[in-house]
Formats: sequence, structure tokens, C-alpha cells
Amino acid sequence: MFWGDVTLLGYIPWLIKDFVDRSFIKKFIVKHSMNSSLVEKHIEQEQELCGACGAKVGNKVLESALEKLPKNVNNMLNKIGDDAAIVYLNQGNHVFTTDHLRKFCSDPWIMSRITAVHALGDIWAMGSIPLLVLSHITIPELSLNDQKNHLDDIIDSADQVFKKEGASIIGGHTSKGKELTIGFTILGHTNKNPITLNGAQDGDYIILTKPLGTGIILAGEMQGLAKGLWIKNAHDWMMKSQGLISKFLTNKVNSMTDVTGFGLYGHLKNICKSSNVSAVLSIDEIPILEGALDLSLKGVRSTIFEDNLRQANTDQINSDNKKWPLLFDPQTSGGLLASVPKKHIEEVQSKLKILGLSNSVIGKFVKGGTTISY
Amino acid sequence: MAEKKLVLIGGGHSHILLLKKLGMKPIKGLNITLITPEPELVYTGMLPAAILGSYSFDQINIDLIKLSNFAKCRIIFEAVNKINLNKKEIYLDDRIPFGFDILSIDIGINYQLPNISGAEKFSIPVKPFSNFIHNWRKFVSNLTIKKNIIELSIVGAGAAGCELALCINHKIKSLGREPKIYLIDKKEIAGNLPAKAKNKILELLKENKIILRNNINISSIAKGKIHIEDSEIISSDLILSAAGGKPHNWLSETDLNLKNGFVSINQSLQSISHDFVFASGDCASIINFPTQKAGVFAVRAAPFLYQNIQNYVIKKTIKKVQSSEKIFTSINY
Repeated sequence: MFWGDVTLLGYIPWLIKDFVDRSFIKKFIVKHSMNSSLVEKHIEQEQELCGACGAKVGNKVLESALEKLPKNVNNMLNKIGDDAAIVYLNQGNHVFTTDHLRKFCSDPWIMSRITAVHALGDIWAMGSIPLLVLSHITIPELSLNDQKNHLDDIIDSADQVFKKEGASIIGGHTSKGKELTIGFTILGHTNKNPITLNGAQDGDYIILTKPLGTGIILAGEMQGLAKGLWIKNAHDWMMKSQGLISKFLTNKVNSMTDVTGFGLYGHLKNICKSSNVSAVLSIDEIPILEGALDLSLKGVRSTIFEDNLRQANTDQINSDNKKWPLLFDPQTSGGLLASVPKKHIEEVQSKLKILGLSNSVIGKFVKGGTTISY
Repeated sequence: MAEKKLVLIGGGHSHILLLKKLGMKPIKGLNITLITPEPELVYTGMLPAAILGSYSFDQINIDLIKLSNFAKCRIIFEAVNKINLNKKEIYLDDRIPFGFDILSIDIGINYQLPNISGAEKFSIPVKPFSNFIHNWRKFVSNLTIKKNIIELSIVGAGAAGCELALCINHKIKSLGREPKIYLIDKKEIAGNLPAKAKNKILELLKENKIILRNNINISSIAKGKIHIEDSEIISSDLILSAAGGKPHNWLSETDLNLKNGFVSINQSLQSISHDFVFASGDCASIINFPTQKAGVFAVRAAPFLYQNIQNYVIKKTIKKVQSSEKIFTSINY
């Protein structure tokens, strides 16, 4: 160690440095960090926020955000800004779905991207392609400038996602409220029969296209237990589009769904019930997010975990494998869960490997019984 | 009062301390965003000890997401590569321009690989640390039992290079192998340290049988080989680069007044050309106030940064940084 021109050597100086360094690092250990920040910073307000139409966001703010959207949209006869969109629909089958998420991270741009991918999950799970989108946004009472920035970011981020999938935002509603909430209603199309929960066959392989654990990671963040790296990795997975995977899988699966709030177990159970098959999971093969098992072993659970477990109450829950709680972890923007007949499984597996999923086959369906074992 | 938008570029040592303070004592009317490519900051003071194994790599990381949540700060994972100071906008890949009222820059130094053919492909730079740590871990875990002598080269023999050489030497020995470490520089060894410290380090390097190759030029780097002036080849199992850090390029594309590529700031940590831009740590140079580039200055700047940003928001007179010329340098091995 050197202090100007003075030199110190040996174990004692190292102890001093060790103490200084450890004390420095200790300052940055933050616990229960998210609880306080989830309470959105409000500008001091004398009057309660009006509901109903009073909660609408000012025209100027909205106009600036919508300005960037395309003026002419396929399947739409008028322009954005009219009372309602006039749409005409192609021949074939249409699927229609909606989803929204409450604020779970500090960056509205990421929030919006994740919500868009999350909402698209239902369209992809049906083996269809998205066409038209309506947005529903609640933004907290911020300064006019911040409202504008938030909205610009949200619309821009979602528009990028939808545009890439060939869909367009054609309208929506934006209001002010207690916390940031983003939602999308999506109309999709397919020339074939949409893929449903019904159709899984005895002998089909079960595949999952994203790792489990987003619920546990986000719960861990709120309790100050999740590492930044884990959170960022979870965000990256949640922002991953599954459009390509869905297109590829469309003519190779017997049934398909996306894993969201009910967790893998709940959504798999729905396939089993609809298709009258049982599932045998190879629990060790199920991909999970980095950090999810660490947090799970510490007892971290999402608030919906108990509900999901209760849904399965008549089943025998096997808790031998330490990964079991992950099966009931609610997923945000989770993976596609599908039944793939044997003749396609090799092709599916190698394609998913190219797309970055080393493990995608997580089990098999067997005849009758509608049970899940692992 | 309208809210002011403060954007912090870079999660360096000044900014983490600033965020901690902002979390404990929020400044009213300030909306904060941190833009950083990585969710963790490696605390450089503990890096050498982590290489040795005195600390786990987890112990030396500062979690920027937790800290941002604590400071009610929005965090964006992007690398800034362009700003417009007239429009007060930051440009990020994929995103619409990001506006600000007050800017604080703490992006450190860009450790560039030396401009030598093969350097990019066959040597590992010490920065970004997260990447370096990852590669070092991989190297250590891949050491085969058969190989007894481990040859390593470090390009760049500043304080960082010397420290790294001593650390790695110790670590390889602790693994029961025989280290053979080359420390290579086109100039002097430890040339940037005070005379007494330099002599002591030279003594230590000698004691530890580090092979010093100073005042030589590397002509090219190949897989496991360093070619010296076309006459000599140094073979190495791993080639590390601790060669001279350079200021980030994008700074020179702004209107900011720079000195040797670093943001020129006054003693209040404000850019001398733009008073709404603060800068601290290695990316800044205080005009007419000689200081070395060292993490300790970034740490010391933080309370002043907090105070001066607050004063700027409420339009009060700005405080000056007081600093002692002596700094505490520590070489661990």
C-alpha cells in the first residue's frame, strides 16, 4: 500500500484494506428494495384523481405518441384517430385475445415490450398470426413532460414488436391511474384451423419453448433477494418473440398453449383435460431461468403460487424433486407448451436448438387419466 | 416546480454512491434514469483479491438494479454512443431519443486492445471486468492436470498490469502449478507510479520471478503466441491485455469541451462548456487541478456530485471539490 510516498507492506495493511473494501461493498447491499419503489412517485396532489372520462390523458400528449404510428394499415379502411377503426377481415379463422400487466420494472419501454410479447403468446399458441392491435394504457399521474415520455416509449416499444410480427396498433385508450398498467387486445388470423388444447395424443412429446421461473425472479426482486443479472436475464427472455417458433410449429403439433398465470402445471393440466391424456414430465429436463432455483430454495414464491397449488389440490403433489415449486410458478410472457408427435420431434428439437433452446423436450403424453406425474 | 430529468450515463463508482445517497435522501423534483450496459458493477478495489480467491466474484459485485430500485431510479440497459447537447437528447439503439435536463457522466475508461494484429482475436482485455472474470474463471477451470508449467503474458505494465501479474502468479502457484509470467510493455514497468512505489514493485516482481520485457514492441499476436519485433516468440497459454485505457470515442463527437479526450470539468464537477453536464471518475479531467486517474477520486467525488446536482436544481451556488494530492494506492497479490 502506498500513501503518497509512504510504503506499507505485509498482512496488517492488507487487513486494513480488506476492512475498507468490505465496508465499502456493504453500503450497497439493499434489502426489500422494490417495495418502496413500486409506490410510484406522485407529484403532490391536492385533489383526488378523477375517474371515468376525467382519467383520460390529454389530447396533445396522446397525439405526439400516436404520431409515430403508420398512417395506412392493412385491413383498416379509415385512419387512426377516428372514433373507431373500420376493419375488413380476410377469409379464414380469426382469433381475438386480450392481456394486460401491472408495473413490475422501472423501464416502461421494457414493460411495454414484455407486455406485447406476453399478449401475443395467445395468438402464437393458436398457430395464428397477429393483424390488428388495440392498446390499453394506464399511466400514473406524472408531470406532462413525463407522461409524454412514458407514452412515447410505450407506444414506440410495442409498435416495434407488433410491426416485426406484421401487426399494427390501430387504436386504444389511455388513462391516468395509480400505477402503470399496459395491455393489448390483438386480433389474429389463420387460414387453417386454430390449434387448441384439444388434440394431444398418446405418445406425443411435450415441448416447452422458454425456461420457467419469471414469477419467482420478480418476487425475488421485490424482496431484494434476486441478483441484477438474474433479473436482466429474465427480462431478456420475457422480451423474446416466439413468432418464428410458432410459425415453424404450426403444422407439427397436435395441441398448443402458452404458459402464463397458471404455471406449467395448470396449463399442462388444461391440455390433459381437453385431450383426455396424462402427462409424464421429466422434471430434470425442464429448463429454468438462472437464479430461479436459488430463490425457490430460499422459499421465495410468487403471490399466485398458492392459488396455482390449490387448483391442483385433488392431485397428488410430488415434492421429491427440489424443482417442484417451479411447476406452479406463474409465468409472464412464458413459453409455448405443445404436444409434438414422434415423427416431428427430431426436427422440432434441432430447430429449437438453433434458436437457443438446448432443452425443449420435457416429457410425454400417455393414454387417459388426465394426471400429471413427474 | 416542474420536474427535472437527471440522466446518469454509466454505473461507475461515483454514480453508485450518488444513487445510494439519492435513495436515502431524495432530491425533490428530480426524476432519475441510469443508463448502463451492465446490471452489475465490479468494485475494482477488490478485483485482484477476487482473482486470488480471497473473495468470491459475487462478493465484489454491486447490484445496479437493487440500487436503482432503492433510489427510485429508472434503469436502462444500453450503451450510450451519441448525445446531442443542443436538443438535450441521448440516442440509444432501438429506442426513440431520450430527453434530459441534467446529465451526469461516469463511464470510466474504455480499455482498448492494443492496435496490434491478432490482439482482438487472441488476447483478453481486463475491461469490461465482467467479461474478464468470466474468461479467467474458464481458463482456471480448464487447466488440465497434465500441464505443470503455466505460461501467461500480460501486455501493458502499468500499475494494473503489475498487480495482475503478481496476483495471477500467486493464484497459479496456489493451484499447485509453476507459473511463468511475462510482463510486456513498450515503455517502462510501472512508469506511472511514484518513484518509491515503483522501486518496491520492481523488487516484488523480481522476487516473484515475473519476466519483465519492457521497452519492446509487439509486432503481432497469434493463438498462444506473441511475436516481438519479428525476432522473438513468447508462447503463452493465456494472453491478457492491461494496455492503456483510452477515453470513450463518442465523447469526442459531442460539443463537450475535452482535454485529451476526457471531459474537461471545473472543481464543481461541471463541464466547463455545458453547465448542465456533470462528469466524474476516470472519464473526466479537472482543469488546472492535477489528479491521477484512480477509483478513489470517483468515490470522493460522489458527495460533491450529490450536493452540486441538488444545488443546480434549486439554483444555489455550487460547491467545489476539495481534494488531497496524496492518494492511497494499493497493490494486492
